[in-house]
Amino acid sequence: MNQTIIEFNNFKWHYSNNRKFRLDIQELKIRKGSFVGIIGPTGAGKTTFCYSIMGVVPHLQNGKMEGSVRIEEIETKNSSLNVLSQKVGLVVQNPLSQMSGAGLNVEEEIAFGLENHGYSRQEMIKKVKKIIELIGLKEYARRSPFELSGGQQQKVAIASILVLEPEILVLDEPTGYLDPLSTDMIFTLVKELKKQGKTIIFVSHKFEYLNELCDEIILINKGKIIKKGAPTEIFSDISLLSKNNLGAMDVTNLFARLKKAGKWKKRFAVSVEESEKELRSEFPWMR
Amino acid sequence: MALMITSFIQKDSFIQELNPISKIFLILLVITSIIILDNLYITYFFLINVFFLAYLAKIEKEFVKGITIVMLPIAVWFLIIHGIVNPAGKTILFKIWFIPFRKEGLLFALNFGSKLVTIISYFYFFIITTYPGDIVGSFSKIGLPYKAGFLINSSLQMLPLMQRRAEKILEAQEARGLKVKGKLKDRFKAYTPLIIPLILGALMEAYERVLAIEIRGFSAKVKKTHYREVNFEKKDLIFCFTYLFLTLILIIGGGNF
Repeated sequence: MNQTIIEFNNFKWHYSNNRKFRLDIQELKIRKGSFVGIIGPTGAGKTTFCYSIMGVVPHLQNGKMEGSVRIEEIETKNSSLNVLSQKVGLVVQNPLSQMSGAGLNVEEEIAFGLENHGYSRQEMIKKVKKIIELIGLKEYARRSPFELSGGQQQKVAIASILVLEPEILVLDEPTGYLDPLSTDMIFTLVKELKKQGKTIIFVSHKFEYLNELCDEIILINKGKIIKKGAPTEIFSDISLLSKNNLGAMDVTNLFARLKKAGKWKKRFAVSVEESEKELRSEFPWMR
Repeated sequence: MALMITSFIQKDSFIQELNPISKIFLILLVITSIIILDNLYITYFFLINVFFLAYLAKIEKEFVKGITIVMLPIAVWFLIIHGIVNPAGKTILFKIWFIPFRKEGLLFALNFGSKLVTIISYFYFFIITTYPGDIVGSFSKIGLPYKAGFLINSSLQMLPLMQRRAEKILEAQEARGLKVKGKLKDRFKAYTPLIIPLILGALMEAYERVLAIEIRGFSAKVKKTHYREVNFEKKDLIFCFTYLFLTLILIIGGGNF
């Protein structure tokens, strides 16, 4: 499991129509099978980071690239999107952007990627049926993806990528348009995918979920990796989050307040369970 | 019936089940014979035929409505322009106020306009009776480029989406106090602020569409397969031969009408 699957080396990218922004990653290695959370304020470079892994940068964007991004033995710059699409799957924030328009109903939309890769009709039917059941889209299978709600559309977008069975799944704020129940469903699904050994890169502002699921958190701001570490290390560092225009979780803020009041000296907890345990051990009257 | 964002009207008839290639074959026959024969009676024969086909497809109401909305303003415009300014016009047939309408110009408009209406009617018939998803498959089966089929398929879906986008923009502008009702001048004014967001939105959507299809292997250099099965069946053969036979009769006997 220690094998590197994604590797950035002296990577620099700037868009030709945005001279101010530059994504600059000197060195980054992501292990196969790991679940990495990407956090950062708006405009930090999170989407560009995702695009670099997928190969959208440099293949579909105008700009200048230096250094390299490797997906196992494939160097994204020297490869093509259709080769990379068999290794990496990208889900973007706006599900509508992800609809190919080729399929008139959910089933056909999901099958589009399989058609492109030349799967036989029997294989396609089997795979589409399986993924529709897994994601819970059975009752919408014959409806147009454009007629569905945002949450349902996001499920279609995820299903259309998952059906290709990529080794790496890059999710760029996929729960941005979703209600709490659908958000929970997406995180439960990726948790399951992690168990299957997929490498998952998840961009999100939902720190509670990232804290629970991620092996590592990468904080990006102004196009640079500010810090990389364990979820507890990153999410308990309120000043680091605040310096990077990010708010800490409510539960962590509670400990900051206790510290300010002189009632807490230990590390800040980052989950409800951890907080309960810490508070009960610190304040015996709570037991 | 499944909900769809497309012009296609799902009905239980053999016309909807025909292979898209059969309908394209009919369109080509119609265009060829109308242009070659240059005969108004033959043009009208084909015009009546398309309404008959729409009846068989159980979409006659929607078809008549669609054709009227699209073609009536064009036909009226044609008659007015050619009736007044066509250089071939000599004999004054009637006057509206002081403007003379000339016989030769009106006849030209009637002849040319009828051909135009007939050809466009067949295209409209194709759009509303063909499941867009079948176009790509049927194109590939006869060796036509996959990308050409995809282009037609996605364009057919883009038109209703553009219409929906325009409605949304208009609603947003209305919510911010823009008057969209009233005199013709006011309505024209109201539609002007719609153009830029509509075009820019469509351009951005085109880019997003490229991203969506490319990250799912659109350019993969493998033989594309199709989720939907599209076959050229016996009914397609009968349909094509019937119209080929009819067209040949019309061409052979064309000069005698």
